[in-house]
Amino acid sequence: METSFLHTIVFKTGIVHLYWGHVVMWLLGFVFIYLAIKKEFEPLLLVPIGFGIFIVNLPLTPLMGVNEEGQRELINIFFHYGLEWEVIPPLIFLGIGALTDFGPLIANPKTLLLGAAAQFGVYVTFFGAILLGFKVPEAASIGIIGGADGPTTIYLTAKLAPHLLGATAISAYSYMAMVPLIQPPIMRLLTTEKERMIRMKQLRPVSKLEKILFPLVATGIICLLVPDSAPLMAMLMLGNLFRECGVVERLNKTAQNELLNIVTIFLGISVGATMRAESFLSPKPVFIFMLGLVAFAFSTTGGLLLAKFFNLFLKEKINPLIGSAGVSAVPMAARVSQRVGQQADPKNFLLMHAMGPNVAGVIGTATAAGLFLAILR
Amino acid sequence: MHDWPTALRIFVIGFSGVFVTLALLMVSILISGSIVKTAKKLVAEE
Repeated sequence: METSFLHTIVFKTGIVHLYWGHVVMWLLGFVFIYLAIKKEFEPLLLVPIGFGIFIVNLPLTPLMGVNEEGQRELINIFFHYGLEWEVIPPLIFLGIGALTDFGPLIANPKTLLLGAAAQFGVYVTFFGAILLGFKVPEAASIGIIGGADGPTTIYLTAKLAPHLLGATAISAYSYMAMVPLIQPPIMRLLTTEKERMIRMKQLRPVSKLEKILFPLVATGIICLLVPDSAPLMAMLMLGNLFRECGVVERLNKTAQNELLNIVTIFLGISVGATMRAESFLSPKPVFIFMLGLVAFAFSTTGGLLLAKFFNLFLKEKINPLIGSAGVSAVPMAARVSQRVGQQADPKNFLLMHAMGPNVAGVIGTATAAGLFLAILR
Repeated sequence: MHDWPTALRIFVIGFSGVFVTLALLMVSILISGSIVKTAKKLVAEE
């Protein structure tokens, strides 16, 4: 009797259910937490994601499954209502909208086209993924990594290929954190020293009225043309209207801080918890990681090359380095443009010019996701 | 095995769709900017 009782107790611990895959995933989770703490790579996301990976790979933990009564377990509830119901990515966009100054984009609207060109990587990778044997909806979810926009990647993958959510989200956020490492060699390779030294005219001041009109105009245009992008675009622009209108400071602060922080916690832990050893340790996530890098490289290239193309016709030349900021990753990609520019000419200030394509990239990626949905659903 | 016709269609419609949408937004920003400028000028003249 006692032996049988002990036997039952032992089998109810996680220890006897452990296998090497769990340990590999713990190590991956610890690497994420290490990168966040030691290197400060996207710490707000990598800490909860790393912890999510760790706890979901502790055997028998009632966190990500369904219990005997058919009810979802704790993190599964966050995942289901937050990601599967598409609540979290639009709320993150609300916060991003409240944090973003679209002034540089309004002052120089042609930078919107650089943001569009930087979606090149999305479509090249989409093709690459199909070539590697992924189905079309899966390929779209992998391609969107090239937009360097975590919430959009999650939004699209949750709709088209939910089984790839962990891999695409991790790939997007990992490469976003590595933008300062990935982009500069490509930028230097595709530009001459002379091009990197181009100085751009100071941006005109943008009036408050223009900044208030922008979210209304942008929502109208984009949601009319690509209705499927509305959950992201509408929330992004609502957040921006909070910021610019100047009469809802409480809502603006909440969207920028408390709300954004709360949903980031739920997002991080839910994404991490999708990475179970049983499903994650297969060739597919490795391919997705490789394709994510291809996506970033081609997105950087697309923005740069269009800026160079513009220079064939423009009297006032554009520094092509700002084109690479068309990958979203706000504001890191713009900072990279500034840094690489200053290596060629220490007195050249490209940051504000690069913010235009940078925020255009956010709009471009959300539009690309909406178009994928419109075509594939 | 690969669904190339669908993939090609998505590439063409998707990539050009992003360009067209953002180009229209660019034009809208320019138009709204010039309307604001003209309106301000008219108000200042009055």
